[in-house]
Amino acid sequence: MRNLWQAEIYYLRKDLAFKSVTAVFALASLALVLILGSKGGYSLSSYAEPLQTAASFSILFYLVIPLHACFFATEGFEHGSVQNIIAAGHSKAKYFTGKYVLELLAVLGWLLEFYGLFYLFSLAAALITGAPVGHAGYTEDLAAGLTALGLNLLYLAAYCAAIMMLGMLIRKPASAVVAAFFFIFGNLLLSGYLKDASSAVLRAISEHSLMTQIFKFSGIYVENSQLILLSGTGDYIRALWIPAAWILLSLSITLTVLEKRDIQI
Amino acid sequence: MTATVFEAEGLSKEYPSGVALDQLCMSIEAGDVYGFVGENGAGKTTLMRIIGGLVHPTAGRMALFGEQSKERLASARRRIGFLIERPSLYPHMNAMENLGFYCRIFGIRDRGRGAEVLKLVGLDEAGPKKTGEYSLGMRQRLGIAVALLNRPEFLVLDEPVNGLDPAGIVEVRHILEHLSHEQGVTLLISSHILSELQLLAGKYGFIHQGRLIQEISAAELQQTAQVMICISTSSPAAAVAEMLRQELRRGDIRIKQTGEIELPRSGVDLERLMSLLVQREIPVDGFQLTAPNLEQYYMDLIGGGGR
Repeated sequence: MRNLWQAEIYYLRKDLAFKSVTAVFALASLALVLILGSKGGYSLSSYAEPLQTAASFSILFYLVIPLHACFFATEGFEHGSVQNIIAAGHSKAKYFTGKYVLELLAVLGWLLEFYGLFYLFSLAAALITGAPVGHAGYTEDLAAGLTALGLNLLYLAAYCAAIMMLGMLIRKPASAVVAAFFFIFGNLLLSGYLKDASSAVLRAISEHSLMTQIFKFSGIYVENSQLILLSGTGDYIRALWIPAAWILLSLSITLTVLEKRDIQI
Repeated sequence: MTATVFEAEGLSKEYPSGVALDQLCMSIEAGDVYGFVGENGAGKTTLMRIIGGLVHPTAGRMALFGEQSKERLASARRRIGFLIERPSLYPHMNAMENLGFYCRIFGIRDRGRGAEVLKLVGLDEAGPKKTGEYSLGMRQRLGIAVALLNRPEFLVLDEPVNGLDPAGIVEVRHILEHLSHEQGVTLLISSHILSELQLLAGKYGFIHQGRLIQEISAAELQQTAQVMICISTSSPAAAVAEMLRQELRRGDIRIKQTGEIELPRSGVDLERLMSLLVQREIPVDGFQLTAPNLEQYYMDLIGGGGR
């Protein structure tokens, strides 16, 4: 497994998609600080406020990272390297889990990059413009920011598991990207359109969709003109088991199918 | 005693569209250079994929270096170098970077190994050019370099000279000869360029519609295939052939599609044949002996020889 990881890390270091996503998050963190500051000023209610603000932009991760996961899952089939890797004695299960774990590490890196840069840029902007920085609600902001960071990691793990499953099953990058789009925007639709449906079943589907949970912990879920956040143990448990179920289901399907299917490039 | 590198017994692979391999039984001994001959879709690549663990056989068993269990087959595969169908290269990386990736896959720590194999395949001066800009021949050479990275004891090469220019074909042959003779590497090679395969292989397996229809050594090929005499003349070939049939009292003289007269070398007194042609004032434009030919042998075997 170590050899596989080293090789895949080497691949990522040379990968334009990986570099682009890293650049996108760096630029986005700077641009968002500037846009927010130009509208409402750079003053901060606490030193942890930028972390909480950054959480409200979580949706950005779900539009960009799953596409990278899709390309990363299919690149071996596109270029044929999966042939040489399996023929070198690595199992198909190791090949997939190696890629999945590495993608999660990349996700963690991107989250830390975005949150970290957003935080630094916000503080720097306040410092440069001489805007005041208060101490009100420091603990709450920090808790909300870190909770969103942790949950984003979990939900991105679920998204990556589902989309890498699609990539491994479909194998053709173009078709897999289309399927990934359907998954991402399908989730958005499930969350957005079905929440006001008259059918109880459809409302339940919307309530249990990944995107609804993401909106909730990001602090952007609005129902009947009311902002709804995660509150109470039940909400948090639901926010944990839904992505966990997606991860378990996606990984099980991928590993089972991958082991049975031949590799024909 | 010679060790068996690869052994298959009743190996079959069935797809919904048809049978790719049908009860294949074969073995390759250490040091063999095994030429695998067959038409497109005959099952050559399927067998190579099975050896590489890419395709699951539907029936039969296989052993690599005597190992049969799933785990041990995986470790046996680390002793094999593969080039199956097309080289698996990253177009956004140069040759050294591609080899760097595969060095990590194989767990090769020797930093000079990449440069070593590049030199071996004649790509040491490829420099920073991305492989996406490579010609087919250059890609093929780099594919061979990847297969050689882990110093394999057994090389499985599917059409290794595909896309190479004549000089490249000769170079690759020399590389493979060197690996076989100097380093004792066992080779399984498929190629449609049978004349090239004949120069390299010591044993041939003929596969047709998924079945291994014949195995033959190079020595046996020499014995079975006849040396033929080919005469080209500006006189009417039919009349000359008829004259030779009567004078030499042989019924096995035929006219090829090219208009040349062909007869087996065995039992023919060359001096008498030449004097016959001179006496009858038959102009001889060409006179040659053809060596035993793998191509002809194969065509005869699958029934397309036209002889």
